[in-house]
Order: sequence, then C-alpha cells, then structure tokens
Amino acid sequence: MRIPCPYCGLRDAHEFSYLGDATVSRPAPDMPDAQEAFFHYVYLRENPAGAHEELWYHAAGCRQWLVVSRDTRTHEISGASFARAPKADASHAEVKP
Amino acid sequence: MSELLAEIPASALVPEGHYGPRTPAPGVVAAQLSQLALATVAVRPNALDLVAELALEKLGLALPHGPRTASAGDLTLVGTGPRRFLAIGEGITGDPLLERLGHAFGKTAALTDQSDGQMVIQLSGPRTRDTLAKLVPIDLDPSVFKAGDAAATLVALIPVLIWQADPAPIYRFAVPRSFTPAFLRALVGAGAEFGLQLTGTGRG
Repeated sequence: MRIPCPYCGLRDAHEFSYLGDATVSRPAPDMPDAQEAFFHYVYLRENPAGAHEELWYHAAGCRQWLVVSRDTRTHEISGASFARAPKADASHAEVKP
Repeated sequence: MSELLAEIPASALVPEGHYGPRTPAPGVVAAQLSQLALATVAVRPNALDLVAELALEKLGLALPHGPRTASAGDLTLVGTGPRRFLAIGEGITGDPLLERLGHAFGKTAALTDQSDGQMVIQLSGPRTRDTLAKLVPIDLDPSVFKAGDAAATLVALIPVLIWQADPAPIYRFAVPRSFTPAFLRALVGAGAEFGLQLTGTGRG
C-alpha cells in the first residue's frame, strides 16, 4: 500500500504509523452534555465498509500528520492532505496518487 | 567480507578500504565527508515567505520548494518537511554556520546545530544506482529523482535524508551519527559485489 504524501510524494505505508479515525473532533468541555460527547469522542468509532478518513503520521519522511482517504475494502487510497492545514505555506496542496 | 563485518565492533564505523572484487575502477566510491557543519532550520508559522525573501537577500539562496536542495557557494539547504530545512555548510564548523544563518533569518526561524548529530556519506561511481536499488525504498531513476531532488526516507530501517548532488550521479546521505556504523554495514553489504571503495572512516 502506498500513501501519496503531500510533501514527499508516493511512499510505502511502512514509512507511516496509523492512528485511526480522522472524522472525530474534540468536543467543547463546557457543553452541557460534555460527558456524553466525550464518551462518544473517546470510545465510539464508526467501522465503515468503504470510504474512510484516517490519520497517518509520516514518521520516516516529513514528520507530518496526514488525513488519508482509504477504502477499507480495497485499500485504495483516493487522496491525502495535511491534518494541520498549512497557513502561509499553502503551496503544498493536496495531491492525488 | 562477512567475516570482517562479523569481527569489527558493532558500534565502530566500517574501516576504510576496498570491499569486494578488484576491478580496474571501483563500481561504487563511498566517502564519509568531514569538515561539514549541519543545522536544522525550522521556520516559524506564517514566516515562510519572509524567510524566502531573507534567504535570497542575505544568503543568495532561492529557498527550496518541497523536497529539493538549493546551494549558494559553500552553503546548501535541503527541504525536509513543510517549513523545515537542513542547512549544510562546507569547510566550516557548527558555530559559524549558526551565526551566519542566525544573522540571515533572525527570529523568523529556530536553528539547531546538528554537526554532532548526523554524518554525511557521499556515494558516486558507475554502479551507485545498482547499489542503492537494494537499499533505498524510493525510485532513484533519473526520470523521477534528479540532481537537486531530496527525500527523507528509510535505509535498512535507519531514517536518512538523501539528496542528489550531481547528475553524474552523486548522492549524499545525512545519517544519524550513532546509526552510521549500521548504515555503512548495509552499504558495504549491498555495494561489495560491484567493488566498493570506502574512504573517510579511518580504521573504523
């Protein structure tokens, strides 16, 4: 499996480490239902058969966190972008394999 | 050769010399380069455009865009990640390099001396690509990876920065110092069949 790193280009998956679901976002701790929201945020994950967004860390390359779009059934990767959107250096736009 | 590699201490560099069959000219020439100063340059958020201007104005360097190199005189910058560069000064030590970079970039970038942290190995010779085909997991074919291109990747599970210094081809590797013995063992193991000449490592 190869991941199209927006900085380094197409690289073998061995250069990356996998974190997991990139679709969850940390809820505000001062919400009225914060405890319930945090339970969902910390423990509950979708397990889609098909397109999924995942966090991968390019440890052996540019040392950036990426959001990778992967089909969980075929491992086909349809794109990758920086998890932290670059501000002034937005020139490294999303690349497709 | 495997007997030799079995006998030298695991923590020692591979001694300089010729490895593999004696051919009229070595297929691969590997050199540990000394008298290099290295420093990482980490540009502050939103300061990349300013640093690019300063690099051009103060150092005469066009800041590399992506994983590429840029050189002016004895100074080279290699792109290692977004807003991250490795600076290499030839014939100087770490302190004057940091002084020069600090004078150019001021507070727009964080500088860290890496002269003690990394060793630079240079590879040249007609069988260099055949040797690297066994070591480097990225495509180094000249249609894809040209002089001035760089890549942070793994060699024998060791994190390295590789860049092509010349179309001849000449490649350079920045290797973490304590991993250099293992890197050289992998290199000698891969290159010995072509005749490999190793210099710059002394008696290991």
